[in-house]
Amino acid sequence: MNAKRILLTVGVVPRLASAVRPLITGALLIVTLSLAAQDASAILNEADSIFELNDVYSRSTMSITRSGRAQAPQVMEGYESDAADGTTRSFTVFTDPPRVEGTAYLMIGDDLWIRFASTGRIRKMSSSAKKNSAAGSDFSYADMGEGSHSFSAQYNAAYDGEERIDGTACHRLILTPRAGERDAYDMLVTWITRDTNSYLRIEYHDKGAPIKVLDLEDYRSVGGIEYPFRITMRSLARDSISIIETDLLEFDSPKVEERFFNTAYLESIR
Amino acid sequence: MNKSKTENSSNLARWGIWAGEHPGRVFLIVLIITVIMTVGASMLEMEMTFFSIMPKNSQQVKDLKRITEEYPFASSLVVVIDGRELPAETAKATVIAVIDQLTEEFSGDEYSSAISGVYSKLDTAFLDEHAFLLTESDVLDRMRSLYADTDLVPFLTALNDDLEREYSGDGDAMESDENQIAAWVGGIGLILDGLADSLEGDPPNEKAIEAALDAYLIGDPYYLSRSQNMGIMFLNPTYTIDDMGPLVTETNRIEERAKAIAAAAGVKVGLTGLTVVGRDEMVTSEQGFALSMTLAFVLILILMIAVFRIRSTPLIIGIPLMLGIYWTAGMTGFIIHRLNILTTMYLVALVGLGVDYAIHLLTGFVQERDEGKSFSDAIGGSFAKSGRGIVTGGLTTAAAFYAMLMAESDIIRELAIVAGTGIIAELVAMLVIIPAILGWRQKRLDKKGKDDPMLHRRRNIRTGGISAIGRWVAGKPGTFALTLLIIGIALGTQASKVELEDNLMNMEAEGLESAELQDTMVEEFGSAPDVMYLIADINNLADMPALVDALEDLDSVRSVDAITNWWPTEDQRAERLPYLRNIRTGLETGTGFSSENAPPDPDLFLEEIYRLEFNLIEMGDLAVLGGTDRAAFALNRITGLDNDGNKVNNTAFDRLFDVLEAGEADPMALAAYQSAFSLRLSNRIHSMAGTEVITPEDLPAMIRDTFISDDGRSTLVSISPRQNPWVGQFRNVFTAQVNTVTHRGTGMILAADQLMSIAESDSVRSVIAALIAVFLILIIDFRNIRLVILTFLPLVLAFVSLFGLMALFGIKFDFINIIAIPLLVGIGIDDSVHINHRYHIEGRGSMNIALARTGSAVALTTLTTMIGFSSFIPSIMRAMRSTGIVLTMAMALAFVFSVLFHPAVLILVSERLGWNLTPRFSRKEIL
Repeated sequence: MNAKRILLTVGVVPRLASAVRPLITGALLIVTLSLAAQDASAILNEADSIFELNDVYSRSTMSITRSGRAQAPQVMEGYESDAADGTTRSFTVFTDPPRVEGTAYLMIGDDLWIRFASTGRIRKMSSSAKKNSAAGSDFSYADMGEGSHSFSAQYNAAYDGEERIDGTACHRLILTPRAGERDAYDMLVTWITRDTNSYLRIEYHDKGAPIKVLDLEDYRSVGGIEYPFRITMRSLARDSISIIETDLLEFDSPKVEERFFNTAYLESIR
Repeated sequence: MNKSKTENSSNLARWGIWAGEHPGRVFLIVLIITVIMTVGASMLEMEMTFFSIMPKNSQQVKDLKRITEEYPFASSLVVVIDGRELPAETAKATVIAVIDQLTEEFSGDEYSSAISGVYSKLDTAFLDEHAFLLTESDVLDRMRSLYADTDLVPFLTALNDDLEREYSGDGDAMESDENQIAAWVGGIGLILDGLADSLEGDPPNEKAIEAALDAYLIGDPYYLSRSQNMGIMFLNPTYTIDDMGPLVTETNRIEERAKAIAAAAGVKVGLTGLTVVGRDEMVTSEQGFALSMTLAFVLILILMIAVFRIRSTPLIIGIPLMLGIYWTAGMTGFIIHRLNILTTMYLVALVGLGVDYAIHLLTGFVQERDEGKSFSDAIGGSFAKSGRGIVTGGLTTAAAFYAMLMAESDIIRELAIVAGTGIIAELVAMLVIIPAILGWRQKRLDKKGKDDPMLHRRRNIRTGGISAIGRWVAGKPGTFALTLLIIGIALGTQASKVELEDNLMNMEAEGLESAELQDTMVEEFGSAPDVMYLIADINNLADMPALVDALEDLDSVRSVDAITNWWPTEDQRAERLPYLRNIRTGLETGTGFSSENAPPDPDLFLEEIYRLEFNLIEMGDLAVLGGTDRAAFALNRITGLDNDGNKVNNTAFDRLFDVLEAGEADPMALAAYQSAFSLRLSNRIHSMAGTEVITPEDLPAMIRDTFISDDGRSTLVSISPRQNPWVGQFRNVFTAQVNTVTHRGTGMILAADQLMSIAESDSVRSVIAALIAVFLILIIDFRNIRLVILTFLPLVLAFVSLFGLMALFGIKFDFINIIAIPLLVGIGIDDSVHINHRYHIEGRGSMNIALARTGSAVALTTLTTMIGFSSFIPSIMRAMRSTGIVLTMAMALAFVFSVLFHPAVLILVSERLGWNLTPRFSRKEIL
């Protein structure tokens, strides 16, 4: 399971944009807004620029609270690297809780495997599993590990005005799935900050209603990239919240090795 | 005009004098009216449930009512047996013992008049014959491989293959199937125990094998919580939520007995479900009304004694007040035949409203007596001076209330009838009875040769305080007008932030067991009692499976129960039959029936036991990771691991490994167990794979009561939400998602939403209708459009300030208090109207005198109205409490704006700006 990948789906804006924006006058803001309204895809593409990043190593903790009861935090290390043909690959290893220490997920494109540390065995997971809840969390396997398609690759964007989220001015975009996207949600509503073009909130709609909300907070600069170190997925369909807090994040990390993205490596883990 | 006024006053004065002089005749008239009203009162039904005020024309409410009447299980009393305080090792057994005891008790004749069915566990006999016919084809396909050979090694191999098939890794699915997984794991554990016993030398225990197969194939027949320390059973009552009599008495009887039985066993029992919640609403609202009525009466009579200083005040005021309410109840019986929560609350508020007429009449009488007038002159003078104002005021208020008949919903129209009639009944009661009682009192005094103590009172009614306020306002009208306008506007800016209370449970009495158990059931059993229903034609079930699948696919839906889960359609049966035949054929031709001839190979057996342990450990890893506690507990117990994966217990696996790895396994012992086990498993599977057509008569009684209507024509689909639908915004998600599949859903959730929506829109409509009615009456009364508009200003400010304060204090609108808001139009404007009248009389520059003359009565009548409303505040029912708070605040605000803002504005416009506020066609300019 790769928690890092979902973190990468949030907006990361070049420092240049942040530096330039304060210089924009109110009048220019209106022009910018007008242009933005005309081209929601451009906003989405800019926010999605993070998908061009590669060789990412992360260490993060996922905490799940269900029906008011906190479960044991899940600590994991994630490695992500796109293949030469663009196929997204991720490899995630649990380091805590003790029960699943060493248990690992490997995702290559649409294929998903799990290796149980307790038995040393590997299980192939059904391709239909990608929309299922991962490890009882509010993230699906697709939410957690899928990075082969950026939002702009999976969805068409439409500008839906501006809205302030917790005091921050945001573009509100409505994303609807492109034709043939099997695993996409019916609709996403995204709030992308107007000044930094970062994802602030994503609302996932499925079968007629919003079913979960992702909040992205605690943005910190890592290698020139604004990165949310805390993301919270709140389920609207069940009394549950999953929080992923990133402890460490490295881009172009030497820790990411090509051999990780192979089932043979899963089998070799001891 | 003045002549007419004099004549009207004279007529009222003549009546007052006649009634005072002929109390006996008046009492006879009152008695006749009361007897007639008793007939009306006997026609009254007390319907104190929220269900009874649901909009009757709504299709969803009609469907819900139909469900409660035609589907016995929908009205079932849910009995929750709580053994959470018992030690874990004894809790399950104790809970089951109590369930069995309750089942026996409530199945007896003693309860046959109240209970038509007792359902406490699954009908395993039905599943033993038909389980596979109720199973989806893809699962049956797996069953064919799984049970192709029931000998030990082939069975275990097939079981392991099945567990290792491509894994879906669905945390949600594991959570949903948690109970089944736990029961299935328990069955595997019993099988392994039996195997270990055999290999250690014990002969196979046939009973233990049957119990293991029961657990493995069917699961736990009782409805137990995830932690297995709570249980649920269902009692189908012979009555519904609409049968108000047995609803309370029979439910109480059942509850008391259940609690006594549980207490003897050291566990707790609570009842919930639609019917029980209805009973609790009925009881708590009746208790609330009794408390409120008593409180209102006592406080108001104490106030009256304090003000008038006459010991007989409770009689003089109390009797007409009580009779006015009784007559209102009688008229209500004749017209609408019932009292609901709202109209009953209004009857309590009527104590505070009706007393106003008595205050005006008695004040006039006392003032006349203070001046030393004779009894007849005093009563005539009182009626001459106060009568017209009282009648006009009463009719104005009644008209404003009757205007609410413009509403579309029954609940507000009923309130309009009761409220309008109540005002007229109180008005008549006061005008008729007060002079008669005063006359009767005077005759008694005359007979005893005593003077009226009223003539020797040490203090008259005081007006000093209100005179001072009048002088203050008159001195600084600009300051008062501007300050209060700013306060009103400032509070008004917050008005839009008032929230709507959409959780019906938050309107119930606090700490109500039936409401709290709804949360407990979600937490402990993973299912909420408030589900959504669909009614379908039983002769058209072909589309039902697709509908069920679509509903089950929704994130907000935990499960969907339909008759087709128990009674397959022809298409479903046709699709499944080949699989069933394959399973049966496989069993009949396989080695399952000849296992004695094929003793298991110990090495192969050991290998499969290893695989099985690995599979269960991996399942345990996922259960721990996913937080599915009950599955994790069962899987940890069978593998001997703790939640951290440490080996903490020896298990049947370890016993088997010890024997098998040491090469000490006796093949004949394995063969003996196989012989007993395989044949039984084979027979059970053969039976469960029965292909016979299921008829409605074959269905277990609980299933029939749940899914098939009494007339056998329709069927019910039950959609269970994933969490408590009353909490937060979840039900918006739930209803929106269900609506993408069907618009025919119903249930308390949707009905309550509809009620709130109708209450909201109808309240606005009623307020507008009441405003128009009051506007027209004031136009006739004042004949000056400017003055009428100015008179509305304090009311508007009072309204917006009320909403602003509600937002600031976090008081929400609910469908009870929002419906009461239109009443405020008729009541809240009174004070300003009185001040207008007096200002007309006193003239420009005399507002301080006008306030001094009207202020005391206005303050007193406002105070009594506030007492009437505030008597709801101590109620345990939160809807009544919030209504009491809102209406009391509203009256206080109306008083403040009427007494401080309105006079100031009148002074400004009339005396500073020179506006003419004199009635049109008046002979002289008054203002």
